[in-house]
Amino acid sequence: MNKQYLLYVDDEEPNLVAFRAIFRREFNVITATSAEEGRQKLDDNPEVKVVISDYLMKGITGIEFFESILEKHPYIIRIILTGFADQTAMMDSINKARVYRFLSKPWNEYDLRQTILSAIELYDARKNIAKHQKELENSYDSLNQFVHKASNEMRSTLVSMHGIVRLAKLEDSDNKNMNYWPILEKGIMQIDLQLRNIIEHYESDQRIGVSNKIDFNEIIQRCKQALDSFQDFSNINMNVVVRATESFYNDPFRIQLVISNLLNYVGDQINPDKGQINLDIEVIDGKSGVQIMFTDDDIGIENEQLNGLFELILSKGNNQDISLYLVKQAVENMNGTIDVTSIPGEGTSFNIFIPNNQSEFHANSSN
Amino acid sequence: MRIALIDDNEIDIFVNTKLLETSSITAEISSYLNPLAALDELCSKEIDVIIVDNQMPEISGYGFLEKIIECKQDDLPLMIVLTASVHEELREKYKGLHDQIKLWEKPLNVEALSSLLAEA
Repeated sequence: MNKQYLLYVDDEEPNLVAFRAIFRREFNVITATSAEEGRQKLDDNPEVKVVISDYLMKGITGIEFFESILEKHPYIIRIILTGFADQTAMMDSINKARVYRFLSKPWNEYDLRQTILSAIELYDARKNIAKHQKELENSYDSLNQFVHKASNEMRSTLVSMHGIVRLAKLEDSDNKNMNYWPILEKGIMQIDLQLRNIIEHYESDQRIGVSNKIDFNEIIQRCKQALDSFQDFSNINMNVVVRATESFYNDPFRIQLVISNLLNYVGDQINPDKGQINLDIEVIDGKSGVQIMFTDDDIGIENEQLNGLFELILSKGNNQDISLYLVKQAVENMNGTIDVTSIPGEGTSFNIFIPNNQSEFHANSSN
Repeated sequence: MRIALIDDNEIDIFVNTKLLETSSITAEISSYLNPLAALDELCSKEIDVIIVDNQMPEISGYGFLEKIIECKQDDLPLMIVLTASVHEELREKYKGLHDQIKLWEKPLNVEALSSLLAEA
């Protein structure tokens, strides 16, 4: 096995000589007589995994030396040698310089060897974790990109199929099979909505700094129209009030995502036995942003379901709606907040705050 | 009335041709799976409506209409772009090319087309 690299810094030459004499067969020992030389040696020898430093040196303590190398060499494990009987003062510095161990001088060969060996082990483990972390991030990114690309491709095929079904509906209008086409069409549109959600979620996550003037009336109407073909809103008396007088700027894509998914959620939840329900959608000025409220008088949500409402729970046999998860992600991407209150039997109310990016918009448009 | 359909997807060409044929619109329909071949032909031919797919491997709907606008100049046909999903940004992009370009979601909405033609 290759010999591991150590750096030992001590301003007393005889200590370095003694250290080297004992450990040179087991380790590649690099030595330095000052903090400055120590830093230089670290730069020249990236293989170094463990640094041992004397505590009290001319003009600098081992702790100070360690602090000075933290940023450049975050993974290196640091060991302090000290002749002090009272170590409590130094213990305070553990966090500052992230010292792995304090060993007292004169050192005991056995203790020092064991400490160095476990320090090397720790170094390797940390390096390994960092490597895996990086790999994990990379594969998470590629997975996201893959899902995004696959969803787009599936949608494009699905939209073609939708065309075929429409055509079949037209050509087949006298046939008794006529009843099948709308069922097929509805299924296609539901899959299409799911795919759109995935695509929008990915795209919403990737967006930065888009800020345009928002027309809430228009967005609400557009969302409703887009959902109309497969969501039955006939049981809902929708009452839209937009009283936001200030010009409001944010990302229209995300605002639309929020409103469209909330509408879809409400549409899905409607209890058909309840008869007509009222849905009030209110947009009003709030402090440095807008307040968007969706209030219905449907059957409400039980308390225990309320907690996990915005979470993505992917369990078997649970056909969970991802609408609210998407809403929350988009709201948080805009630095907004969302909360929900519900009284079983009386109704549910979603309350969203989204900050106004007007100042940012002006800053952007002026350059 | 002469309508040109440009789409690299055979099913979409088939569906849109059929939809047009069964509609109240009487038109001579020409369809192209290859947009570059379509450009060659359409630039030297009279055409009233161009319906083009936004995303094609050889050239995008945007690039396609850019060329059409270049070669047709004063005698611009009605231009409709079809896409799987309409984005605000995409709408703005096409608006920037020409303010009369329509950006519609697939599949082709024939009723909307016939009312658009009635307006013209």
